[in-house]
Amino acid sequence: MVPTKFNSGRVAGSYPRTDVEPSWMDALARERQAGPRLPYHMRHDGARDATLAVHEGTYCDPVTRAVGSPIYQTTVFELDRDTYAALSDGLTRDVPIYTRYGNPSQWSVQAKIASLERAESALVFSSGMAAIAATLVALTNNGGHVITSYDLYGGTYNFLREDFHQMSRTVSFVDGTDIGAVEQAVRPNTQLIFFESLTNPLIKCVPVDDLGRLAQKYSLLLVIDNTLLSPMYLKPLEYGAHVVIHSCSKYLSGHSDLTAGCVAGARKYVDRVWGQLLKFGGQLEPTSCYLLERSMKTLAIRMAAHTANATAVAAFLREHPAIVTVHFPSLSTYAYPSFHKLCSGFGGMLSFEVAGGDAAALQFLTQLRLIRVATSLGGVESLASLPYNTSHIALSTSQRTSIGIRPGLVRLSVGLEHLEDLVQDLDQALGSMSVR
Amino acid sequence: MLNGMSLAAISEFVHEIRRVPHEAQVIFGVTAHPTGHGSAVVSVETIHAGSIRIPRRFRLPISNTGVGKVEGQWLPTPHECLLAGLGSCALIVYVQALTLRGVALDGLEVVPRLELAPTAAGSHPKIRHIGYDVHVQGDFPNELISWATERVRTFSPNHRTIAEQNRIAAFVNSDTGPVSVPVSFDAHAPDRVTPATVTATHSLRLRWRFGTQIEVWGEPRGEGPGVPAFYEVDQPKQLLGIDRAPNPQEWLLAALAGELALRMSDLLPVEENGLGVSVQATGRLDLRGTLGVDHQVPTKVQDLQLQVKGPSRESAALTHIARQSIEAGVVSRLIAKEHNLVCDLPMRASHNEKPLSANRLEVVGH
Repeated sequence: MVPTKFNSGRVAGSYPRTDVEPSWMDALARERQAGPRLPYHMRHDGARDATLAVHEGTYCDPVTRAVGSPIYQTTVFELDRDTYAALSDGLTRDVPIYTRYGNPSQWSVQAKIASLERAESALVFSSGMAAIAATLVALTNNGGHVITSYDLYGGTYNFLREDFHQMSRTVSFVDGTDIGAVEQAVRPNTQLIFFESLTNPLIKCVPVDDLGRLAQKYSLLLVIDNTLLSPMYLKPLEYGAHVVIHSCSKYLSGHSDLTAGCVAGARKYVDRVWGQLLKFGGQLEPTSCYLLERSMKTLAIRMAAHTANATAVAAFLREHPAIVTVHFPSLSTYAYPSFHKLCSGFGGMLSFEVAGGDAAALQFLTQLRLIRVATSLGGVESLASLPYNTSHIALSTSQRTSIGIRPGLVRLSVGLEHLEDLVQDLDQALGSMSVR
Repeated sequence: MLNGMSLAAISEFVHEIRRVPHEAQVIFGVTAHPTGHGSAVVSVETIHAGSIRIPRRFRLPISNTGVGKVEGQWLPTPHECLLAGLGSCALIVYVQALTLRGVALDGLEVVPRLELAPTAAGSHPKIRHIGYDVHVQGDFPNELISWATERVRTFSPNHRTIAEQNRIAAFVNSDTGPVSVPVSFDAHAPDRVTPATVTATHSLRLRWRFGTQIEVWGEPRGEGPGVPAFYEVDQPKQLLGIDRAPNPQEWLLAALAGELALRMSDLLPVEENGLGVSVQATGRLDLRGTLGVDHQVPTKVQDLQLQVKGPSRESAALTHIARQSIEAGVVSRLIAKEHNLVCDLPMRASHNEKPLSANRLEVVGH
């Protein structure tokens, strides 16, 4: 069978169902299609996550039969009668026309992301913030209200605080772990609730399942930033979320060498975000798509290794005399029981408070020899930073205190180094904090 | 996309609501607050569309007479709000229909008209004529225009709402809870007006801009050459628009709520001036009817409801005033009773077709 150039979704020759009268408005006889994808994008429906991570979305070139996806490093594609028809019908997302609209390299990695999140569709962006901004604008209207939390990545918080009202939308900041507080914040014009599944930097777990029920009760859209857990450990769509966002710069790419973002969800929502991407720009370039697709092939084993190291590091820090408290889900002191109900792994992010406040924490950072002092997270190398002067600098002291960011808090992204080397580095740096 | 309409999106939505009827239910609402001196402000409320909400940020100042400006704009009357709703709904369905037939539109206008025959002082005016003219720019086969008009007659929700009889449920909110207003329209007694009766004509000119965006032009007002009134109609982005203005159903509900709020404001004691009164009008569309997904489903706006909130007073008195006002209202009678809508089409023959013998297409309401 000769494959069609693209999947228009039309049922050739006849209306899809013979037991119903066609609608006069249904000129195209078209159901929503998962994707977009081309016939040569691999699919392994029903396979497990580790297999999907390796194979799903790979473009199998029929001529060369290459095992890996080619890179479609082009901005534009030739037009023909099929593409003219697609443009006229409003079918432009599924047809290669111009790379900002779509490119088979984007479709490869999008198929992989969608499969891991169990979504109909995914969309890649040039950064996580591009994904967040496009999503929040696309899914809200003039006059819309969003409920979120101060427990957010600083860039997201800045966007909501500084720009949202300029677009005639309003925001309420509440404690996302308190479902009662979220419900109390709902107004007649509330449209969307947005939370990080595992918060940055205090590793709080929001009750995604309760939020999903709340969203359904009030006809709200639930958008979850799942960056810190990755689709390996939580699939928010299975708990009532409508859209999931990732900063792919973190675990999905995993090597601190790529800036990217993504959105996944039902086709009807992702299509609307795609419409916003067309206007904002922020699409992911084909070569970057290839790098992301390549990195995601090892996502399963990397997350397992991150989790093993982080669990051991958390246990070590918990016993160290220079440490006041540690935030990590494996510990008995972890205060968010919904985590163990929802998530299948701990991930690699933790935070801890050193005795002596921010001055001692700064001293601690300067003594690290193996762990790199940098923002970002989720890469193969361990990274440490202080939220008060980096990711959460836009919050006032009282706002930081209100969400639990206390002096001396260090955020640690545990990488894939040998565990003993990591523990050794932490031990010597903590030990040197008392040296003046 | 042709004419700003995504046929793919419409098609996909049709399939979705066939499988999930809940997603086809769209509930609109407006609330009118009198502001004194024969004026009111109508606030458009959040739309509940299936499993999502669509906030609306529109306020429509209206007046009994159409005289008066807010931010440089003339205030529409409730009659004009109704005509804006009727004409824009028809226009959007015309655009959709012609787009489905592959027509790239240059221009399309609808001129809705309402003729009222004044009666003795104290009585409500009689409705002589309701309908609209259609003007299509370009040379099209007569068959195409007739076909599109038939789509409008069948599938324009506001056309069907005016053409058919409807129940308007009305309530007054009292301290003890909502009290039903026993409204009664004589549905089978159309207004009788002799041909020689002088009538007052209200009309607008609605011009299609692009997609679901429509310009609404009223008669020039004020002294000298006058300045035309100008309004807009659009759909929210979730319903194929770009959120520029209230949509046709919201204009229709604004007419209903605004007319009642203004009439009650006139009838309440002078010292109260009716400023404590608000009137909410709500209605529901089942898009399965509008999109022809299920022919058993009505196309018109359903579950029409008026809720009056008044100053703390005896609910019986407020109920009486509300009943009087609703039964006397032109907009409420147009919606509650069935009517023959007349649609005039200026038929132009294409080069190989004979012209129709008449250029008037009588569209019977049922």
